[in-house]
Amino acid sequence: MSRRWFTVKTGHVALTLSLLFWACQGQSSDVSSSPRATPTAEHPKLAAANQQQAAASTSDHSADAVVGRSPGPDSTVDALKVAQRWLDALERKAKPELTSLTQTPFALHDPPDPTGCGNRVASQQEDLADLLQCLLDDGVLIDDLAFELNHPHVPEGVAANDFPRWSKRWRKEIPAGAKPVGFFIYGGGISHEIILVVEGSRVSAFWRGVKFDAH
Amino acid sequence: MASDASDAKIEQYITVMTQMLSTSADEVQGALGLIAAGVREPRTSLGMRLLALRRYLRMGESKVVAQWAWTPEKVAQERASGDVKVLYELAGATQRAFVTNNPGFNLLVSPLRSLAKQVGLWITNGSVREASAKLLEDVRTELSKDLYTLAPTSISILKFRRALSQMTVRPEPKSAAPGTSDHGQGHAVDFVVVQGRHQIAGTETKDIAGKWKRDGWERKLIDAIAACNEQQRKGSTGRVPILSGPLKKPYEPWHWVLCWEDAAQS
Repeated sequence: MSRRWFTVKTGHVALTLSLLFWACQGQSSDVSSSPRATPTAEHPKLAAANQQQAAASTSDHSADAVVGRSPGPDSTVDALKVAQRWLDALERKAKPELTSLTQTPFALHDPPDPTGCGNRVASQQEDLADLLQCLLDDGVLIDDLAFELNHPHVPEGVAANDFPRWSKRWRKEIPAGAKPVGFFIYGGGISHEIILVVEGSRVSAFWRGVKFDAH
Repeated sequence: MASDASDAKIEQYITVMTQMLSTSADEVQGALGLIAAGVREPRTSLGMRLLALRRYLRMGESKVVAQWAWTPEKVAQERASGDVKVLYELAGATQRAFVTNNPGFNLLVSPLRSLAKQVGLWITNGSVREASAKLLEDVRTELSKDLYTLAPTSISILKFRRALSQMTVRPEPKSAAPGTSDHGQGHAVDFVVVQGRHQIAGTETKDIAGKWKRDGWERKLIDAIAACNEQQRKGSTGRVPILSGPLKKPYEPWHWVLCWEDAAQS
């Protein structure tokens, strides 16, 4: 088994454990239908991821308050799963999979060139290819996502009162029923805060704030 | 157009100056070439190359060469069986120990920074862009002096070299000049503490007093590393790889290096 395969799979196991947490809380979830629902031996990193996701599931109720919709645990858990699959597809540069997980209109709020792809919207499927390609061409981001030691990238719901400062101006763009899901990606010399807006089974927005350090 | 002629003159001086470097010419030319290839806007590219060149001159050629980022081939080799493999194994063990001791928190590790990544960080960094724009103007002023002929001479090159290395830059670039990062050779790692998507203790100097010291993350990281190092030493008779640190000057509680210890002496 390659290390890469293992670490990618690890991310799904972490999510699966999170779903089990929901089941234990008496919430309905689709854990039984997950083809990867095969928890492995206890791993401290996974346990931490599990706890973080459990917390995320709770805090995400607040995110629903942002968008004015009564929360449902299924959609919350699914949103985390969708966001993780989307980011995983980006990391693997799997463009067809990434496209199928992306909804139009798709909004990109990224730092301006040369750091990122800027603020853009793909209204139609035809515009989406260019926009996603810009993200796929971001070598720094893709390399940082792919660094195995920092896997799994744990998704966390973004509560209404917990949006990063750089993202607040776009908060009002989140449509009713959509769920913002956040990630922190550390790259050494740079860190990326990512928020994916999940609508149903697809991602409708990618927001990113980056911070450089001097080392 | 006067400004274009001036840009051409700056280009000429950069080219000749890098050709005149003795031991670091290949490294510097390679990095400046990557910056030029990565930045579309000519003047931004020019400023960013000048800023990098200034940094190389200030470091000195021997230090530039000694510290230069590994090639992708060297990185692949080291990751498969060299010190980087060992370093990452120790970092991974530290992560696991840290997570066990601090439930709900995670410890992230800095990846090795290839030259391509260092160039990427350089050309995308706002502070570099700002500093290089200002430096370009200063260089333009300097090279407009009569002593700098359009075709550089050895004397004008020497004068420009001194002038460039002494120019002040503002703001201080928040990125190492491409090729010269401490993390380009996989001897060191930085650790940051996160909780979910929140960074709790990062690699900024302003975090040291409060987050690392007062909140106790420095001690927690030291404890996790000490436990891993002890595990390494157990039953070993030869040379034992351990993480040593944190970096003392400048003080960075997140920065640790790979060391080989003689088990008999430990």
